Amino acid sequence: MELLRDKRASRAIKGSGRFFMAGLGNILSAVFISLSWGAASLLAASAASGQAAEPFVRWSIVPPTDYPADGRARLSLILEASHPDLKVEKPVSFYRLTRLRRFNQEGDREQSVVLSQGWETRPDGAPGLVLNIGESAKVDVFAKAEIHGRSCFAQTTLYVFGRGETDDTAAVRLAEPPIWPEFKITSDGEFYWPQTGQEFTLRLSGFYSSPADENLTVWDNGFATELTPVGSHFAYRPKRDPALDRAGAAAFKTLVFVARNGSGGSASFTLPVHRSRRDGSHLAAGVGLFGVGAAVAGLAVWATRRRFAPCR
Amino acid sequence: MPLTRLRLLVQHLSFVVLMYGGRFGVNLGSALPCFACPYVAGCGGYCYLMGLQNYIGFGLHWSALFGAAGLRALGWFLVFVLLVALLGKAWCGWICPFGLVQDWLTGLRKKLGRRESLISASAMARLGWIKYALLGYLTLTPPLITAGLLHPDFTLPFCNICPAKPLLPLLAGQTQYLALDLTNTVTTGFTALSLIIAGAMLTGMFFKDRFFCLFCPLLALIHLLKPLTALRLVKEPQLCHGCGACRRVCPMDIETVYQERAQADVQTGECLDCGRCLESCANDQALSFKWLGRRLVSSSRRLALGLMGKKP
Repeated sequence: MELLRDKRASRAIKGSGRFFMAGLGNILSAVFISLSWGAASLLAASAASGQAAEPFVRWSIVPPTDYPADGRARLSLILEASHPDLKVEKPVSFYRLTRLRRFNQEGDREQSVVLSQGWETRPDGAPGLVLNIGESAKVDVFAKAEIHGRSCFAQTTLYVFGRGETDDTAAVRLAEPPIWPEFKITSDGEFYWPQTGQEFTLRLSGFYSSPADENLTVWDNGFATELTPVGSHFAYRPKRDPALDRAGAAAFKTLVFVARNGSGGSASFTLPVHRSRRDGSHLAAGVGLFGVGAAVAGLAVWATRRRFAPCR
Repeated sequence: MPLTRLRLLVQHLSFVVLMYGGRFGVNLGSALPCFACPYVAGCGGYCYLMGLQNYIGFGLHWSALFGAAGLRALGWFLVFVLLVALLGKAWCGWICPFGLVQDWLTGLRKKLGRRESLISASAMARLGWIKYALLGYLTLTPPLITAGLLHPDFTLPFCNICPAKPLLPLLAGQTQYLALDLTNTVTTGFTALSLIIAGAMLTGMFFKDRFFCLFCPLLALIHLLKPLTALRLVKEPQLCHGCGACRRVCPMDIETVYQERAQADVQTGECLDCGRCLESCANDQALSFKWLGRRLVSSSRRLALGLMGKKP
């Protein structure tokens, strides 16, 4: 029984984040996904795959999102290389904020582009980035770096719910974002809460030199799968993950989509996915249980039916 | 306008606003002292119990308690106290959408000619403690989750078993909360319990007036704040002739209004401030609603006899 804290899940999987329910309060989960586990798996898979020997950079999300006293959302990200021996050089980043509607619907909302300035060097030498966001927004974070002289791009999309009055006062707003490759990703479900079992559609612009060069590999639980293009886009449906199912609603794992072009460059997209909210649902069984409850109550009413009730 | 008609009008307007108002931009916040269920997509506001369950774990993290999130939790609590202070249990008898659903079921039962099931006074007294036990359950469980002693899926412990969660969204066309969730053991246990309780409650609400209100932790919480409430039901014992009409019409089978011969305060823990007793009382000013000591409406022979179809 897993009525108490699941020790297997807590050892094997870590992840935390905000339990989203349409903008209500903060639930900080104590579950944390072990990024080292994912990185080690990535290494093992890299050794097995000749294509993965080519370097790329990816965003690694450090949960949880902090909400300090001033109400701003404090995001921590790490720009990691595909192999620990590789060094990420000359990182540059910007992020685009899109204010959220109520219930996190997409649509035309105010956007702003900000140059990322919160860089710090982590103990392992990887550049880390801290962003302070003062509003409820979708945050698209872009980065460009070099590995062995090759340009590598990384992107991720996160949702934060800052309540501060202003963003980081030192933020430098850009009139125009740099022209970098950009992933556009949509899903057939709730994209503000990506889940296993949803189909994600990806389009990458400004990267490939010709349609014949289009390629995309997805890293899921340390295994690489090459995706087949469908027209001008790629589609991927992450399978249900039993470990995520046991971990809790706010736990997540990251999928990394990696594209390469003819000039040796790479572009990656990091997508945090949660467990599916729907895959475990069985309506017929639920209605049956509902009927059982109603029937038991009905029997109780019938058993006590002889009691006199005053006229009304 | 007779009190009943006014109450029905207010109940139905509140139902529309609280159940569907969000679709039209209505947002009454997260501190409502009634069952405005957040699981209804497009609702106009959220029941305070969800916020209470979300915020109450902060006490274990002092930095969060005194941070923006903690201040926000305190703010919503003060809003809740203010709303209760203004209207008291009128939230239960005049505004609560789940209360109106129960009144619909009562009306259906009467139309079908079925007698109400009776529960003895001693059984009512014993059942009345369940709502305080549920209040304790929903306040004590979140800190255990925050401390890592319970699985994260225990989050929102009361919402996980609340009968309004499967039932109210049905009125917005949502059936997903009638499904049994087999994601893991905790979700399976909670959804199974929730559905059995919902089925039993639906039957109970059909055969017994305001059956769920016997167990409602919000009613318990509002009653704990009774010393702060401005709205009171008061009796002039010397004007009471002891006819018992108030006892007969009370949906909660409260005897105190009828039996009390000394004190003016007859607002018990189960009272919903619906006003049926006041409307049925044929003794002028024997029962009154007072707001901050000022008489709002009183019982009158003219009103009571008018309701009975007799000329005063």
